[in-house]
Amino acid sequence: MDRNACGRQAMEEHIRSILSEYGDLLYRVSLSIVGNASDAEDMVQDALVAYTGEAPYFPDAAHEKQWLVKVVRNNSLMFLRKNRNRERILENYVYTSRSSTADYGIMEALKQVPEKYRTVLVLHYVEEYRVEEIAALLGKSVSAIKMRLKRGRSLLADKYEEYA
Amino acid sequence: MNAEEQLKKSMSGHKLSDDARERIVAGVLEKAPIAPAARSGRAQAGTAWRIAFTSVLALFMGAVLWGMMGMLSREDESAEFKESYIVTPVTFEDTIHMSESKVDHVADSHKADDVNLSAVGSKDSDSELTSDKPYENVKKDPVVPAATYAPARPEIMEAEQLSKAMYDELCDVCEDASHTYRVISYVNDGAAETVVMEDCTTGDYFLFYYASESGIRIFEKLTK
Repeated sequence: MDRNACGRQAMEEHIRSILSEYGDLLYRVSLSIVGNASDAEDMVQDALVAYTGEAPYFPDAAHEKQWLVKVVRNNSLMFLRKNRNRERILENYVYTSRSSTADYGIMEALKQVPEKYRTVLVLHYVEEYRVEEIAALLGKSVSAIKMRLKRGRSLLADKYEEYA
Repeated sequence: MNAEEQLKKSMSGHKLSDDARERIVAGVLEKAPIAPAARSGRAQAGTAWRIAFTSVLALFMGAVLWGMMGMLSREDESAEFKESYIVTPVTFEDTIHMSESKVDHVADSHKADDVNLSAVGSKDSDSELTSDKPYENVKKDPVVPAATYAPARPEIMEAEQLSKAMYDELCDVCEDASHTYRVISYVNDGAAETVVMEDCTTGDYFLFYYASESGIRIFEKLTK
């Protein structure tokens, strides 16, 4: 086996292990921002391409996860800015496709919450990260995350009541 | 169920499917330019080439700089050589009435002579002073030394009233050529000449008596 093939196989195995470890997390973070399954998959893919291309060094797994979350979030926000006028993003909001009424309600409510609260809500309530961990992941202070969590929770509850 | 619980329940259901994972893996492998190991090797090779190229470039620039410094140094040496070893051209006085080419020509002819030259020839003559016959067309003026190609002499103002012999004698006794002397009085009774002069530099007065026939010379400093 030549060196290229050897390296390619090693990279594929590494990508699969990363996906296994953080794939769902990255996907949901992106999904909460772009609101579309296929686009969220693309964001995850782009993050992994960046990961393999830049080959950054991480002292531990926590730093690796933090880097991946940042990249996928930034990619998703950039994607939204570039495609601000694409109505299909919201129209094809994935939550509506296979969800119950309750699912639809909460997803529509989440869609109405500003992004900076949305990501914090997902990380805290879905991924079950502590405030300190979210602060580290997003590069914000703990107090800022607490504030975002509080406001986001209030906004989500208000919107959920409307759609439920 | 409140909003947070509903959010957790709904979002937790969204996961990457196996197909999605395969698509992502395939996409990453397709978009990734090269495999990590190969990339590493190529990157190392590229780095080596960059280092080698930079080194060669630095050596080349250094050589160019060294060469330029050497040239500048040689130019300095050349200038120093000229200043040190080239004989300073002779001073050529009263050249205003001479053509520039003539001045250059005469100066070149006498450049090795550590003397001053005075132009005493005809102003407009084409046969001005030449290197071959420097004095041929010198205007013979009795009160002006004909021998222009001579050591520097003191300047004696109002010397036109003196005979040439008296002038030469005065130049001999007034050895300090850097001083200027002014003729205060001049008496010529036919047998002897008497001159009273002032040293314009020091303010001293001198009396000079010269009898050409007897050869008597008296040179005295006068008390004011």
